[in-house]
Amino acid sequence: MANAVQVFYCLLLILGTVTAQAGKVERALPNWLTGIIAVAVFLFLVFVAFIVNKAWCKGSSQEEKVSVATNEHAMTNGSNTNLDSVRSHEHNSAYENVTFHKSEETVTVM
Amino acid sequence: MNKSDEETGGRVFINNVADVGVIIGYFVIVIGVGIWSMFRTNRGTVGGYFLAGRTMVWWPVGASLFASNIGSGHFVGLAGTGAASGIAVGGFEWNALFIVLLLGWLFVPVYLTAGVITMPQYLKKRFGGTRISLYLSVISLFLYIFTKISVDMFSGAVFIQQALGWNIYIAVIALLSITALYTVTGGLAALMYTDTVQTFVIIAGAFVLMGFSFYEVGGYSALLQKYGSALPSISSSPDFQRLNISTHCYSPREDAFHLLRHPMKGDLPWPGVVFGIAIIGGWYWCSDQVIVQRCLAARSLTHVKAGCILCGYLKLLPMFLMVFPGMISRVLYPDEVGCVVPQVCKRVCGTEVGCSNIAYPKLVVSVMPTGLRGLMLAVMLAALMSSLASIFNSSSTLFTMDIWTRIRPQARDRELMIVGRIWVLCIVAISICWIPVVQAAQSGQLFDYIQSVTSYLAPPIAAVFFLAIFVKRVNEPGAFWGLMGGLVMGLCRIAPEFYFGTGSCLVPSKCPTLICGVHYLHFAVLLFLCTGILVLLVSYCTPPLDDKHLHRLVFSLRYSKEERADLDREEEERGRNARREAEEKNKAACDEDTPGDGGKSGLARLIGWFCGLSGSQVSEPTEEEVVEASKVLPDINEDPDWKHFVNANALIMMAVAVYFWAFYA
Repeated sequence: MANAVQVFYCLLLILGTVTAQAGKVERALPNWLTGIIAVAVFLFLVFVAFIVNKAWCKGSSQEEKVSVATNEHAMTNGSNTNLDSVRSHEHNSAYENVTFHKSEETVTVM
Repeated sequence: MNKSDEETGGRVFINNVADVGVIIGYFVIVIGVGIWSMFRTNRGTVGGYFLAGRTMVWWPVGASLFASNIGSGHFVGLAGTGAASGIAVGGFEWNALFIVLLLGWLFVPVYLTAGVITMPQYLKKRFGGTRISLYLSVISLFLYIFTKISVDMFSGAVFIQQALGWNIYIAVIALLSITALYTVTGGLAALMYTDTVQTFVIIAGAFVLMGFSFYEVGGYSALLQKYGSALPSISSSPDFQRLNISTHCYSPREDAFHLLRHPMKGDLPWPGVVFGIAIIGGWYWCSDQVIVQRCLAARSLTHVKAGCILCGYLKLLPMFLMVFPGMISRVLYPDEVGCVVPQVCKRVCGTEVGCSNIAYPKLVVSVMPTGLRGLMLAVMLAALMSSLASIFNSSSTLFTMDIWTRIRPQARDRELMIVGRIWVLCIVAISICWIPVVQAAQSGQLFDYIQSVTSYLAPPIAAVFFLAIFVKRVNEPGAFWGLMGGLVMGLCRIAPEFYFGTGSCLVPSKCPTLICGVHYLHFAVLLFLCTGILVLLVSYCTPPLDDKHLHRLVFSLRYSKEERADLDREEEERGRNARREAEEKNKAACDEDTPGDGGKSGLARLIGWFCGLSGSQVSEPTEEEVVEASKVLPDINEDPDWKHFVNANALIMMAVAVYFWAFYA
């Protein structure tokens, strides 16, 4: 398919040169086709940029989250066990959502 | 009017009931909208007068951006250059489609969070010190007077001369007084609403003219065919010894229908059209007071962005509304518009170098039927008045906020309002004095004149703003010496060009190729790069600015919520103290002669009301209030749905722009 299109463009180009040789300057492609091709290329570039941006941003934010989690872990991993560090002061079988709260805060600051 | 009709003999002028009726109707509408918006907004404060109280929605913003950009210089200049050398000049307009997006997406968020009114003020906050902002205010005022105002007025006068046959000075003075009247009284809100009306008038009228002219020439394909053979009938000089006219001076260019032309031989080479114009556009759209002030008046960042998109779509039109009609004019009147023999040109339009400037006016007086000619005159007046009024308003903002507050730090709101209005009158007077020079210097192609002067002075400013916003490392000495170096380089090019003259096709300039051989658009790119390198070099050799001074002043820190230690806070504090002292003194004086207040004449009060100067003045904030106010951060957060909506629209607009660029490449 791509080959056929290339051949087609080559033909068009040759047509252009031939008509130019005939003494009159002609365009290789009709105006509207140049326009469409340019828009297609432009949209493709935007798409690539979008994908790259998405991938890059996602990658970096995930990395950040991981590092936050390890920090949290390191902090709570002192003398207490994990559960004790988040156990509620009021109720013995309730736990405060300390880790979640903290990590969100860090993310917004970033 | 009848007298002038007889004098010039046989030419058709606007003097019938239908035409005059349309013009009067136009004035009534504009004045009506002006008065309506005068009552809507508070014009007595700095924020109300200069920023319209920051309440504008997107459509006045977009329309106002367009109307203040499109002046009568565009009608005469774009059409004239189009007639002389084809569509490449449309690149100036279509480049702006991308630049206007840069404005809305990258520059305005930073200006909004910085909380500034003028561009020099931004530089003062960003770099500290006073010399950069002083230089920027002075050079902006210089550029307004010597390029924008004088060119707009001159081209408006060319049109009026062609259409009405009035004297150029009387015409200009009449126009200026009307414009000055509504700038002085209205403030930015009135300007922006009247600009919206003007945009409608400009587009509607120009569309009508485009229709008539395409009908006259026989359609688009006929234009493509006939333009190449639009030759003047008299093309040989009366005395061959002195002047031998070569064929390429009067035959239309082969590449007339191409936007992108040969990089060395073209009159507007493609690297210049793509990059050079982008740099000049970057100065015009992103760092110039006239445009940015309109964006700052918007209600929120989303409205700014939507306004920019609207303006971008409107900027697609000038190619069809002005450049093509200009070319049609050459096809229809090759002897007048395409004249080449100096004597003939002198007879047709009064200048020897060429008459392409009359392309558009000629079309108006010849193809338009009665009644619509009045409409076209209204269009020209709309374009002229809207762009002049915006320049007047912005230059008075610059003058009062940056120069007057430096001379008199104790000046309070009321004084600033009065000074701003007086400055408008001064600038009008200066620009009238400048007309004869423009008339003498212009070389037939008006547009080139504005663009070449701009491209020698603007690129350093664009470079400094660009680096100031995106590179945190840039500091005061870097920016200042960059600007100075750029200015010297620019002057090195301007001086020989003015000394030797720009020359014309018949009598080429004697300027040595080494200096003037580089195309002015290429020179803009070089100047931009050199200034940028100089700024970075000096900055890296001097100590950097601390982050605490830069919060919300550079792009990467625009969302920062930290407290900022303003570099200009000492000066501001001194100003506030001076104003407070002045207020005390004033109050004491008032207490002494309270009965005298009743004696204020009725006339003075009427003028005061008309200009929106209310008698009472808000008292100066105390130091605590100032600290409180500085804690309220400007908000640039957007509703995510609308954010995606404007982003998608920007993408669509860019795709459309790319299509048109490629279509006419």
